[in-house]
Amino acid sequence: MRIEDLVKRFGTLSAVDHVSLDIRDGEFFTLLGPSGCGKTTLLRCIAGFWKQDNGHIWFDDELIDNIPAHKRETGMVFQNYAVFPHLNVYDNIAYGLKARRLNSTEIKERVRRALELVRLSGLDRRIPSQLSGGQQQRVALARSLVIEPRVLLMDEPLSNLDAKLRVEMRNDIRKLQNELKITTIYVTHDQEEALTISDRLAVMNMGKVEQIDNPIGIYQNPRSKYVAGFIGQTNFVEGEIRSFDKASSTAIVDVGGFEIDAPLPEPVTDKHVILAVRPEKLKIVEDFSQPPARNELLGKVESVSFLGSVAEYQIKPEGRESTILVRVHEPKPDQLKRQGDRVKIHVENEAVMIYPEDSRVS
Amino acid sequence: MKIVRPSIWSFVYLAAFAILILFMIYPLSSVIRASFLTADGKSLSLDAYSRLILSEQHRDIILNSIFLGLATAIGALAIGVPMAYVVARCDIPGKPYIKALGSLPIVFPSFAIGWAWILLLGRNGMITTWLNNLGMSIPPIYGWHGIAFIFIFTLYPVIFLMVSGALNSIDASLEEAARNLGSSEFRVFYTVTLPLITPAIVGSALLVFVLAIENFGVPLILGERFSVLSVEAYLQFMSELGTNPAMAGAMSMALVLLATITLLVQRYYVARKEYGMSLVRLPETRILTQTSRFLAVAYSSLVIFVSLVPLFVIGAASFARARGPVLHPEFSLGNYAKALGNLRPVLNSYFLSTAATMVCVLISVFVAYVLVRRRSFLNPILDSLFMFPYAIAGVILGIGLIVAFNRPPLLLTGTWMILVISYFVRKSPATLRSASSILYQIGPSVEEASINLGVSPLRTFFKITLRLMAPALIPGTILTWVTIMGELSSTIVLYYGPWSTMTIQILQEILSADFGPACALSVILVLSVLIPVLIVNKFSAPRVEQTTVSQ
Repeated sequence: MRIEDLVKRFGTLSAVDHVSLDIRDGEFFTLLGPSGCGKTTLLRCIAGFWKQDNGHIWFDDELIDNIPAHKRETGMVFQNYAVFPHLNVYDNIAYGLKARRLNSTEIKERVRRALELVRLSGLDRRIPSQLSGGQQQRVALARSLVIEPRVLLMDEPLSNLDAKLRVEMRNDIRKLQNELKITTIYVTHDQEEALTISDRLAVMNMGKVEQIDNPIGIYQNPRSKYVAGFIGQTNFVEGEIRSFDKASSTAIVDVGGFEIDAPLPEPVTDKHVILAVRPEKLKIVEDFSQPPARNELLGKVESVSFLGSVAEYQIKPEGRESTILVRVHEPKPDQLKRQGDRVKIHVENEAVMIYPEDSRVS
Repeated sequence: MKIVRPSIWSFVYLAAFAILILFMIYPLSSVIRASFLTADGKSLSLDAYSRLILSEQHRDIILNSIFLGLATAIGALAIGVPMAYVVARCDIPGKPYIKALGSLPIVFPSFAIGWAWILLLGRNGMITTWLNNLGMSIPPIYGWHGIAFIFIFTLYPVIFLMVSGALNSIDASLEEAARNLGSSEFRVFYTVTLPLITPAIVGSALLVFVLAIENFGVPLILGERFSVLSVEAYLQFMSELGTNPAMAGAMSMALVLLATITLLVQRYYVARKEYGMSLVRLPETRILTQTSRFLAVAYSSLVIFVSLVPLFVIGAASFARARGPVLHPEFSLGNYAKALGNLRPVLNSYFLSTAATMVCVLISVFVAYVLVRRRSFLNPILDSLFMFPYAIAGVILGIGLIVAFNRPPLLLTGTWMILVISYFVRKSPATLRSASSILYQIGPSVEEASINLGVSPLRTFFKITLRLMAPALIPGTILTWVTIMGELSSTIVLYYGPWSTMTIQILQEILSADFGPACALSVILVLSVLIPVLIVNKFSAPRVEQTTVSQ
């Protein structure tokens, strides 16, 4: 399916601001972003609950802009389940089939298979209030799948479940989607969920798409400062470009007197930049005999958090106010630093990302 | 690019506006028009208004209404707020009973309650006679203090219910936080609890004020020389000495204006002061000492006893042998035989109530749906229009409907339909409120799920929305039915011979001093009201809560 230059305004606010997406057949596609970024609005435009102010939505080659919601053949799973409280499990799942006037033997067979699929067999006579939250969500899922929709739309389906159930349901949903090969658009604000479940994801911010990529691409090559900050943990430090080498596509950046070299594909006009680096890409160097070389910083440990397999340090580089986070995996007892220790940090230059200082969008 | 299709919902807007304009705005404007004409209706004049304001006799009527409203509001606060606190926050036995009985008085026809007090404290009242025999005397029940007394004990439930609701919606952590920050228990109440329930206190008091100034039956039978706007407007309009529609219109306008201003203040004030609070944990109940617990129960029981004693008085009196206004203490079913000799008023009441309730609920459900679920610039206007009937006293609506529809093409005066129309207009605000709040609770996603699964919005409305609303609508529907059963103020203007209702019949018997049948018919009316309410309390309340919780 394809979304072309879609705009949805509420008053003067553009909740969805010129978004274009190409979603492949059978793909598990996630819209990720904080609340208010427009991801649910976009989903509701696709379902037809809201009409976009601009742009088009295509299913395959069919333009569906003017098809009313009940004829769009989308299967939506709601955040609060929206299971019909007055119908039992069977009638909930059969609801859409009855609307399509299928004969009763076929309805029975398809409901039975759907119940099996979501592992609810035997509960078909229960009413929703007798079901747990997870079971209700399975009913909602089965109800959407059973009509064999052209696209499955999921609006934060797991956010009302507790942490353990959330992981279990997440795996189940992904497994089901793999089996059925149904095109799925999944909305969430949970980055871990988005990274584990998706084939590809779009990171959204203030109505716009910041980046579309697969999970690894998003994590390792965030195209904007916003994405770098939203996905995983990232240190941001301000710096000033000293020189740029076109041949190797690297820039040397001055960060409070220390020099860092980092990959930069193209020269930039503004010398003031933001460097971003993941906490696990910083190393604490034990050797203090040499003065800090290129890609090394001196600093003082502000605080230590020991988390078992990792230790996290907040380190304040010399001459700077803000601290940076350094994560050390499997720290050895004799190497564990204490608050107040002076340390030398090494930055892997491959891992440093450079963004313009004032812009969010790449 | 957008395709605009006229849908069923545009029809709902159209119909809603048409109905309100025809049956509320137009009648009211007829009253306004009359007020600007000379008494003979031939030429324009401000005569009625100048006399209303300048003559001391007329000005006193306005002041009387305001005074009565204030006295009622203050008295009802004094009774309702402590009771709300005791029930919401203190550990006292028999809470469910206090709650249920403490909200009962509001459903009873207030003039019947007033009438029962006449039986007790009137000139020939049981207590009056008894005291006279002992050589003592008490001030008569007639006049402003009697009316205010009856208003207070029929309207305090408004305050009791709204304030206890507010007390129960304050999360426990707020008061605990104040305690934790070093406030004494009294200071917590004064600095946290009281400010948070002030909107409910002020809001309910203003509502009581409006209900008191709009009441017609009680001042009619108890007022004597103390006259108020509602009764006087009616008398000016219906007077046998020659009607004066201009003066009736001017007085109606004064009453509508007074009520409108009060309601606007209430709306503005409550909207400005309403705090959005999330309730996670109910406030804890206070454990009282033995003595204060006894006092709390005794206090609540006394209030309930005083408010319900009229029912027992009427009940007992209905079995006495009656000759005119004198009741002999001998058992007799004669009153019932006489009261039921003409069944027509009883059947009329049942029929009219049922018809009006059906109309009310049907229209309210559709209007609530467009108000809650549709986005339209028309919504605020429609919402305000549907709240406006609160500001129109029954008598005034009655006068308006008569003036507006007493000639073709729409000749409705003297038909049963005009009564149903009037009941619909009067009760639609409450029914609409209850239908809207139910819709808010159901939330839109279940409907969206149904549409998403291929059922059109209109069929979804019938298959899902109405189906889910139905159980929650029952209590409100019954309440509407019950309050229409006791309606007097517009009925008295609008009814016509064969369409007399129980309330009219009772009033006429009281006014013609035929106390026996009046008692018997009052018992029938009270039971007709009481039984459905008790059934709803018993069965429906927990069901409503269940649907709320599961959504």
